[in-house]
Amino acid sequence: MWCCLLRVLDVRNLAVTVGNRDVVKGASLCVSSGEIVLLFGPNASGKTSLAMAILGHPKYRISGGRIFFYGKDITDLSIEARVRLGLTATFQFVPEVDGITLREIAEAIAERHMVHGDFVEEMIEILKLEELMDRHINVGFSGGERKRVEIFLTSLQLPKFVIFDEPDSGVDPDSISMIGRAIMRMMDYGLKGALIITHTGFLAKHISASRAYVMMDGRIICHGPADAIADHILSYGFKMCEKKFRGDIDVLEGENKRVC
Amino acid sequence: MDIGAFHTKKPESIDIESLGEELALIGIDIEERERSGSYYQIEGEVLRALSMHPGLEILDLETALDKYGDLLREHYWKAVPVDMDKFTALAELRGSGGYFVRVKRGHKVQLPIQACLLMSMGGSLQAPHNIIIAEEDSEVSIVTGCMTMKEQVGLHAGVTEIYVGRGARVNFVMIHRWSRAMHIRPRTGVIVDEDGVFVSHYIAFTELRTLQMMPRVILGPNSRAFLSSIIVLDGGAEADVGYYLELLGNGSSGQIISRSIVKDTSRVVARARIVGRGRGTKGHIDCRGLLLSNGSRILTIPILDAPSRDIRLTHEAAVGRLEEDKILWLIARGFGREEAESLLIRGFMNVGLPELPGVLTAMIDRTLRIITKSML
Repeated sequence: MWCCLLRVLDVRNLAVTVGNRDVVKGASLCVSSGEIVLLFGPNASGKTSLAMAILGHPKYRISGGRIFFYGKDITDLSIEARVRLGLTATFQFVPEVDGITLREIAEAIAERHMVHGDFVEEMIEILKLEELMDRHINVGFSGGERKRVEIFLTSLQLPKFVIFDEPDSGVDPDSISMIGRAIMRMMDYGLKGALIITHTGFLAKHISASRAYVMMDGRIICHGPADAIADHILSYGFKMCEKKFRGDIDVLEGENKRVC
Repeated sequence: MDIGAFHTKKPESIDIESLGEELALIGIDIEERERSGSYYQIEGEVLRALSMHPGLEILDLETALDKYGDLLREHYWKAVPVDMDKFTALAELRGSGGYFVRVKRGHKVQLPIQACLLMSMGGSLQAPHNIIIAEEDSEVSIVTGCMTMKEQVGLHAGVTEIYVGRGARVNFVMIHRWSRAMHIRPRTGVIVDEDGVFVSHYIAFTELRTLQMMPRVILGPNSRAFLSSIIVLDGGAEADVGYYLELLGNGSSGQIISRSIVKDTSRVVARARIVGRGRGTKGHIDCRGLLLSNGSRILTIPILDAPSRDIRLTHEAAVGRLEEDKILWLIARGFGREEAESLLIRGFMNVGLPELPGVLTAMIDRTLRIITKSML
């Protein structure tokens, strides 16, 4: 498998089981320092399971393979330990937390990570959250508002690496643009790398992604330059992807070496 | 319960100053910095009844009865019937102490009054009779803090009658912190006149033995009530608590919000009953319970009684555990598991108190933070 130097995240042949079902069947990918990588795939292809397993969510049991974060094997670490190392993921379905306002939790996260007030205000501005700040977290929020809130709170953790799980699903074009700007601002503000799970790649227009992987049926079926893969998927869907990009593996490796 | 086993006792000499931190937890500021009046009672003995506001009168009830005679007798045992049960009878026959608060017509008293009722003796009975009268267009907030100062068997059976005058507003906060052998039987009745507002917030966090209470609130025309309770029990405590709200006047409305959190083998029966009488009345019950241990139990009993078509009464109820998905989401957002649980419990206890003075909100917030810590 080709991969990059200065790997922030390195996932090797990962297999994940939920209940009795094998949902990820030997997936490998890597993300280098400073890199944004996209992960495409149809519904139920195992993308979220892969993300949650990398995060350390206990419902997603790792049945094979290893995960390295900055070269350290984190496969057996708890979710709390992984988050402490600076690895986290946004959730696709963000829960409501009644009784706690967005402002309260944002202040708690910002205080814990000693985040400068200007950055907090800037993210509120980018994601247009001011009107939501004194409402209870996600209670009565639209889908787009929830996605923006999730990215906002994640940004306040000052993580080193984030897996963004479908930040553009069910979101209007204006919100996609805001989310793209927010992610790029995070990259300027200390985020070392990101893996963005997406169905459509709409977000790709607003961020500088270098590479993309495509996942189907629990496996990574191809990888390549983000723009080429995104264009191909928008034109032909996922099925032709494997055929087109597998054949160009040498070229892709060369391109990715440059990116890395 | 054998009420004959409990007796009014003379209190031990107590250094109130040394109890500052503990009293702060039940809303009592011994320095009286942001208070407009204070009342202290230990066992049956009244230590202090002081008003610091010209529109406010605070007396012990005995003095008030002497002073106002028949005028006060009109209110005496009117909101709570003396023959309601054996505990009201006990308060009448063997009780002593209790405060009288009168807010004069048109006076808006910004800072809260504090009433502190302490128990210190084993086998003790504390059965004060309190009367609060908020005259027309007046406004007042009262925080009543009750606690035992050491492990002891005892019975607290205080009676509180509250009269909210036309266009007046009373915010009544009661915080209880008892020890594990205590039996608690408060009896409260509230009559709210036309356009009046009554806000009640009851917090009990304790290892008490038994607690039973169901304050009865009767609303006049176009008046409103917000009745909330937070019951946080551990050990082997048993509680049967709730509110009875009668929407008597046309256009009156009210909510009953209850939050119960139980741990160990403690049990709560959370009751709420709203009866619509007047035309165009509205009422809502929101009753939720959180189980923190396998041996604990919560039973919710909401009752709505709407005898005519233009009365709108609704309820919602839920009992369960902390949701693991929410805990994991908060962990992903950088909180430790215990902090995540603590945040969720804090959120659970937020009943959205309407428009209380800031000093009261801050005090309640502080107390709830400490309760949350103690439950984890």
